[in-house]
Amino acid sequence: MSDDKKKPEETAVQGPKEATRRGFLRDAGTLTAATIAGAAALVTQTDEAEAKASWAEWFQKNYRLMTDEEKKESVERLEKRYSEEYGKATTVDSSPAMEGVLFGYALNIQKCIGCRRCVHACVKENNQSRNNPEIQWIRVVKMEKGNFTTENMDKGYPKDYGIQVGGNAYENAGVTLEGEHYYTPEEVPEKGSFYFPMQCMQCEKPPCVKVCPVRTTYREPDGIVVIDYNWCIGCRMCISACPYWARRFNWGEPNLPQEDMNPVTHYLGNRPRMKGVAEKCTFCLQRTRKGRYTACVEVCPVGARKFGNLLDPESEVRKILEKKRVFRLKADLNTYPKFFYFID
Amino acid sequence: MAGEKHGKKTGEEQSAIDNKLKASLSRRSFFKKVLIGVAAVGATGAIAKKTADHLLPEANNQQAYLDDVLPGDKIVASWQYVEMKKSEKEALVKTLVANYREKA
Repeated sequence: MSDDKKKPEETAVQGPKEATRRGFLRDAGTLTAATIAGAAALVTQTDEAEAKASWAEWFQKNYRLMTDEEKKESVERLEKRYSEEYGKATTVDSSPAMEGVLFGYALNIQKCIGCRRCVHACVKENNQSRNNPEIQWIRVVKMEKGNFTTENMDKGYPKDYGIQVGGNAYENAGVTLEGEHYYTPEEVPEKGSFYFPMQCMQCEKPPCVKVCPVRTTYREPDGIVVIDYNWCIGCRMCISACPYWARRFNWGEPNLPQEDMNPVTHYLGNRPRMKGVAEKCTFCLQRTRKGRYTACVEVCPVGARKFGNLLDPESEVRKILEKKRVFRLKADLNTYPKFFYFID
Repeated sequence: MAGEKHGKKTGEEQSAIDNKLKASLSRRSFFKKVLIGVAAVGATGAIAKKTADHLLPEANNQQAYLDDVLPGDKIVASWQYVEMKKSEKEALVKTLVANYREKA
């Protein structure tokens, strides 16, 4: 019987019959099965590291909440992906903080000659983007030398009531209020200049951790503030909150050439980052948790940088705190930075 | 109208309903809908892309990075160094050690 010749009752019955519960469940079942099969095919592909990573990494937990097994899986996945992407055997360490260690850093601003070797060693060690953008975690600000003495710090106040500018309105006791970190002199130190390196202060009470809405950045027991790059949503709250301007943001896909990639990485440290996540200095935890110095300490030609365990009274950092004239930045914020500046 | 009043449909109305049901279930009408849907989605996408290309210039990641970082130079350079007194240094170390023990 052709459709045209069907009786009205038959047609009316046939319409709703198509939309039965059985039919719906059958279709839903087919769709679900197809989705699962597709996902499984994508995940089990052996030649597409990217596909594997995107599926598994997108659905992984916050690193802190992972079980040891999940951490292991995540690390293995990354090792495989990085090894394929960069064409060299890459290790992703997940060593936790060492017991009885609280890292501290001290920098002698009298000794720094502004060579910026620390900046470049840091870039190399920590797999930072090389160009567009060129990301650097350390900035060495060049400043004009003033007659910076503590004796002069209290001088220059207006005698009567009036506007006071930094306490030195009438007598310049410190530095001029200009600074730049992209200087390219023929040789350093330049006459009349001094240099002021800055990086993450690994605050004991870090404002960046407080503001993170997804708890992807947190303070480790050894005092290092870390970021789980996979959990970061790129909201840039931490960047705004950091009073030391120490965090950097990956506006674009980082540009890390294969030949420049450092294959010795840590999950919370120098492993290659992705677009849209924040990053910063981690005191080279891939090194320091293995008992080594940071790259910047190692490379400094004048020994201006010191690093050690703040819990150990015999460590260099503790000795400096005890014996030297130590300075803090933005002490009023009570962030308790564990990065100190000192002079002899 | 009389048919409606009595709850029955006239032959003409019934045939219209039949045609509609037939039309909505036929393969031809299904493909027609799919085609229209695809065309609509495609056109929307194309317009959105053209608009975005026009309104949003190509991202300059280096500039964006510098815009983040460079303002910090002047601010950092204007800070005062605050020398710690001996008592402050001792208190700081004490606090850090106590804090570590408390969390351990």
